Amino acid sequence: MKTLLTSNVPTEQLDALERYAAAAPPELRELLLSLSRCVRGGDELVVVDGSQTVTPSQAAERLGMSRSHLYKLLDRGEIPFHRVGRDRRIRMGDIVEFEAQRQRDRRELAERFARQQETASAVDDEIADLL
Amino acid sequence: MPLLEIKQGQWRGGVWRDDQSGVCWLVVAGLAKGNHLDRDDFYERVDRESRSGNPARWLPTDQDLHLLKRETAARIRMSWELDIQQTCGQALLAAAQGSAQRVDIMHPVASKGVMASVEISITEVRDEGIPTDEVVVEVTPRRGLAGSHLYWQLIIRLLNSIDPPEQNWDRYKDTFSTIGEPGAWKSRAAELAELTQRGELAQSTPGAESHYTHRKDLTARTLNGRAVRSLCGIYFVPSQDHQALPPCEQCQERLAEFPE
Repeated sequence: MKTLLTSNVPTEQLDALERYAAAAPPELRELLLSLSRCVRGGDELVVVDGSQTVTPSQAAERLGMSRSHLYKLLDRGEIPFHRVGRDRRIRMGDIVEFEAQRQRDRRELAERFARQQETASAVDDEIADLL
Repeated sequence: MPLLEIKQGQWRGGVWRDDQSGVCWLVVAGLAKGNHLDRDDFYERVDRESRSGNPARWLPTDQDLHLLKRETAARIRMSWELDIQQTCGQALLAAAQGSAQRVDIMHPVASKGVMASVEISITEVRDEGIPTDEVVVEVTPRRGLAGSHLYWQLIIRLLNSIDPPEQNWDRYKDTFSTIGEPGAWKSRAAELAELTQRGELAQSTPGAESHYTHRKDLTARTLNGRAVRSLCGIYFVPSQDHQALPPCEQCQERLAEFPE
């Protein structure tokens, strides 16, 4: 884990970064804005090593989900983990990968909600072909 | 070509029964006129056609047969969806009482067997902050059906049944989850039973707040049905009049951090 000092970045440079971010594609914009928010807020910026590990509680907090939901995902093998004694540990890299997949899946779900008519019509065609 | 006669007021119709499929087609219709002496009288026309015309031209065409097939398919799908809604309501009630439910979902064409298995579980989340009850829906589609239209029809039916607001749902692969107040799912199960009783399907509801998102390509996204991501992290296809909705607080807080 690497901690970067941020207090010496001038405000004008952050303004410029945010102007650039405002015109960037959503995923990048989100990243740049969190970066800028972090720096403006005076937070230290922590760059995570993908091999660093966290406990299930920490992982659940980062992912914004309940611990019970996270344990289910672990039990089903959706997120890899290893044991330290009786406790489970998760690699940060696996959490980042999980989150990226989750964002893609949520986007697809939103699009499917918007296309309910087309889906129903395609299903009717498929059923008609089987009659 | 034997026709059966049907009557409604002055109207008369000729019904032909397709013996192969058992389907009855109304192939000809007209008014009974002037004591059957009028040239336009229904019986006169049928009689004239039988003697010197070609009544077979009244028979259903390929296009009629295709339409019938599609209407039948739509009816089969609707009744399949009502079955799923009913099953879903029962599973939700049992899950709310503490036991996770696994159910098999049949293909709408029953001879195709089971198309997916669905597990519905409810967990009381009491570990942090506001107490909630979390529903998790795990779908295991039969091989070859993942990502198909049929798979999505099943998913949407399950999600609309359990929790209509579209933006409440989280998803990771074939696992879908949403949260509600303690006790919410038991009452939803009761609502579903009533809906199913009335033969109605639950409809999803779009977002109730307006979100800030990137202006670029917004129109194209509405047209192509591509989703955008809001500042607060929600995905949606822009299709509503955002001015009619109250703004999302989280989006506004984030927007306030933008430079002027």
